[in-house]
Amino acid sequence: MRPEHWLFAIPLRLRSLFRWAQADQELNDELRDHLERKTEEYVAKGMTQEEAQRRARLDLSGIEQTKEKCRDARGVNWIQGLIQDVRYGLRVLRKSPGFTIVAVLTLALGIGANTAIFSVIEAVLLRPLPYKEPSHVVLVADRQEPKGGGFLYKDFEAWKSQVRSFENMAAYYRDSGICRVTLTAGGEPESVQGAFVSSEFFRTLGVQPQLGRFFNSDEEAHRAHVVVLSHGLWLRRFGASVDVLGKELQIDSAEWEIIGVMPATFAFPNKDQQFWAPITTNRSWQEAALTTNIDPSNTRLFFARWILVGRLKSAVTVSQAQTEIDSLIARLNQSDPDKNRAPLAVTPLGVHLSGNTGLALFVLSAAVLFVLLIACSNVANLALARGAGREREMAVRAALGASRARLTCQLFTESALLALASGILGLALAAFGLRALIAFAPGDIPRLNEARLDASVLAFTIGISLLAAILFGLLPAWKASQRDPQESLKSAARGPGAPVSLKRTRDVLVVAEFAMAIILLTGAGLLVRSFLAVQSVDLGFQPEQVLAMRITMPAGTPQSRVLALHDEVLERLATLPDVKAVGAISDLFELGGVGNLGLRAIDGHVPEPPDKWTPLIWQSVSGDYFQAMGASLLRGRWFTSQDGPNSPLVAVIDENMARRYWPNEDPLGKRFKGQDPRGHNDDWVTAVGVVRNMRRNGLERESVPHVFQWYKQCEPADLRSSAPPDLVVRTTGDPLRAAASLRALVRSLDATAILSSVTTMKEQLSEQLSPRRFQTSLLGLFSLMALVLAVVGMFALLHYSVAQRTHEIGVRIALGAQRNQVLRQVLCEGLRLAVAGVVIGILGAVALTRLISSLLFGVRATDPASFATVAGLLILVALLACYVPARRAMRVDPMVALRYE
Amino acid sequence: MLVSVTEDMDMSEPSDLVQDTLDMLLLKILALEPMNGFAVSQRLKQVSGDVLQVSDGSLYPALHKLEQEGWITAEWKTSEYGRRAKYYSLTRLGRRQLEKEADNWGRLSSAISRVIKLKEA
Repeated sequence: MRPEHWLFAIPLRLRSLFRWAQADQELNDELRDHLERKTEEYVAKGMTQEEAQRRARLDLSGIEQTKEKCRDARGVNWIQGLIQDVRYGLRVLRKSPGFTIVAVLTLALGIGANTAIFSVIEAVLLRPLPYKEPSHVVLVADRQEPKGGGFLYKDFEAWKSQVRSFENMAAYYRDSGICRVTLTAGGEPESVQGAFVSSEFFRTLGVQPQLGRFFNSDEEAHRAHVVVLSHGLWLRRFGASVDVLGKELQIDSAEWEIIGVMPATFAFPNKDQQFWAPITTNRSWQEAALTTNIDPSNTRLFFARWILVGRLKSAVTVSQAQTEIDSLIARLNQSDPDKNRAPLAVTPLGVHLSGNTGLALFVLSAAVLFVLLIACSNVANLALARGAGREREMAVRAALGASRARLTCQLFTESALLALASGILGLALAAFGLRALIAFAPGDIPRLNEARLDASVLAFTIGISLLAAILFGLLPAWKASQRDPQESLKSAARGPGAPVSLKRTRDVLVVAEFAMAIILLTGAGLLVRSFLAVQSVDLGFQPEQVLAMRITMPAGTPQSRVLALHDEVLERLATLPDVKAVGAISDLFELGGVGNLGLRAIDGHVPEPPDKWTPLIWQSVSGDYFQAMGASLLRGRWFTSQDGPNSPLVAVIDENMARRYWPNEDPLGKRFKGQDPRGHNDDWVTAVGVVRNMRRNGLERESVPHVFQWYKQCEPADLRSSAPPDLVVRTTGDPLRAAASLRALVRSLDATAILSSVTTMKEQLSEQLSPRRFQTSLLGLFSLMALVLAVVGMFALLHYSVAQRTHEIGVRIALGAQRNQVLRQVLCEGLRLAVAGVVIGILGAVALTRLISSLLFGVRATDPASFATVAGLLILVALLACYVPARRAMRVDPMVALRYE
Repeated sequence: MLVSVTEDMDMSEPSDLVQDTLDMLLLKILALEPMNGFAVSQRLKQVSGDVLQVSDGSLYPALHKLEQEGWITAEWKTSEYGRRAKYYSLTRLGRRQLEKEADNWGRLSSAISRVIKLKEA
């Protein structure tokens, strides 16, 4: 439109908008004036006064309609219409508080659940990582499971200059145990997680320090003791002071210089590391470099300990990078065969970080979407029922000149108002839900703590509320607009009675609700069964009444002192009155990846080539570890005090180990040599006992062959402390009650000892279950919501249909129908719908549960028992939902019903 | 009563004018002198010899639309018989619009009449 046009149009439109009353009055006057003149004209032509008036009005083809057309022509009608609709809608909703409250609550549940889950998905999966061009960052790591392997640090140093797909490449230590250190900065020593990374690390990720600088390649080469603090550590230990740079910090009893501080958003590679230091300053690297003559960068010893993070060049794809890495590995394996590098996988960092949470979150978001759909169809059903009651109102308005579009628009405005109110309430629910969700979630969901209700979540809520309004509002509005007003006026005069098509629509909605509820419940049922299956897994030990704790000594404590304290602790703890058995092991559980290991020599077998190796766990134990765990000895004996550094080397192996190497032989007395090139590995170790398999490497994973060695027979120069740090204490009473006295005792023996993760064994196991518990209970909660909503929907449908047919039922009873017949009829009506929903739902569930089969444990995705249980449950609750309306129908008093007209 | 031919035709609703054409006619009529809605309808009938019938029901919305477009403007005046009425008059924009539409119409109608006058073979 031309600008000068607006000069006229805008004031006029504003006038029509804001001085609506006056504009309308003028319109009235104008038309009245016209009518008068026209009447005069007709009278002049010889008509009677009445006839002339009638003709004049006829010429105008309906005064109200013409007025409405004129208002439309003024162009602001829709705004007025909207304002009118909103005011009218509010009034209507206020007048039927029951409907409004039920609808708003129902929708708010759906919207709130969706919003909460979306904010999690947004934080965990959608929000870009806080790095420069995060889509170009990839991880290059060995495929730990099922095949282990790795590369040499020297390989990485060579690749840095060779690779063409990568702009930058950096290495960091994978093993979090090796990266755990004792940190002292004023105050008490604490055991913290650090990150040991190569100097290109920060450039590769494209991050800047908040304060100070990063270390450079010189510092890396010289193993300089410099650290970059995490934002958290800086706050906690240094009060966020700016002059922290250049200050000293004690890590493992050595002095380190603080050179930088990272921003709060940066948490990589782990969620909880407190600092970043040069990769060459890691304890294992230092010790290898100092105590052995091995170059740490050129040894198999360090296999599988590094992960590479790389930045791809802008035009390079992940698969191109993968091809290049594959060829590099192949070339090295050809030129240097005995180092046998394993294949490495290139994975986008985002994919790596979200890992398994992707599927679980996808399932949860599908579940909440279903809940919302059910909520919408419930409200649509309510609105349809109300629409039928308001037919007369609509018919009158249509007769008074309201267009079909206008009526639809008004009904839709009501829906939008409902959705808006639900959206606001839903947002509040989501805020609570999200807080509960974060508190309840397992620690392994990356970036979950960043989830919050921000602008994008708000936009999502608004969007989904509008979507809901369309879903539940459009159908009733459309149905209402389809009715012929004349027909409605007539039938409304006859009394209520829903048309058949409306009834069918409502039936379809209830069937759909049941179908969706079935799908959700089946999924939840399968997860619950998996959960129970995991819980009843044969552990191979007795976790009740067992306390676990970790005792470490500050680095730099002489090995002899560590050992002496260990022995003292075991001895003294065992004398406490409520302690039954005390022992220790190098790692309480083995929940990370388990590397493939081979044996150098096996009695009666040739050693296997590396590609035949399988995962193997080698642990050292002390004290009465097995007794404290409640493990069962199948053959042979436990370790005794006769086993010492100078007696023949012995081992207790588990069933898996026995079956793996001596499948049809007696494993007792069989000898083998370990793989590790240091220590006793050149000596034969003799199996003296076979213990039942223990689920030490994860409840849901097949247990792996184990070799347990006696701690006194481990070489003190071993990189691992020869005193196993993880203490296991079996008590007579509540293990936590014993914790305090155990703690005090250790403290009294050595005040520098660091006690950490003091928990019960039960708690440790429960912690391992927490991701599964999280998924299961959330899906369970959502499917319960779906069930309740579906049942409420069924109840409302039947209740309404009985109320509508009170008259008919009354007549039938008056004519001699049996009350039982009436009851049965209503029950059958509901049951028919429930069965239809169940059948459709089961078909849907068969198709959909397959998607979650990787989340299941010990139960198939098409488990007939779960399906049958859910179907039975649903039909049962459907019957209950039908029963109340059916009773009401049965009790209809014919006299009252007939008078009701 | 005499039934005119046009009234007969009215039964078959022949002259439900295309909106643009109606706009043009109204602008032209108002270009002659400012007048109220009733007068406009009288004048339309008069000048077109009853051929062009515009129902009162479409006249007023059309006038309001023209006002909204800024082509005509309205003011309340007291008429010759002492009655208050809403008088519409053409604006400068309206005059320009009228010229444009009249031009278009001229071209269109001469083109159509040329086609109609073609001799059949």
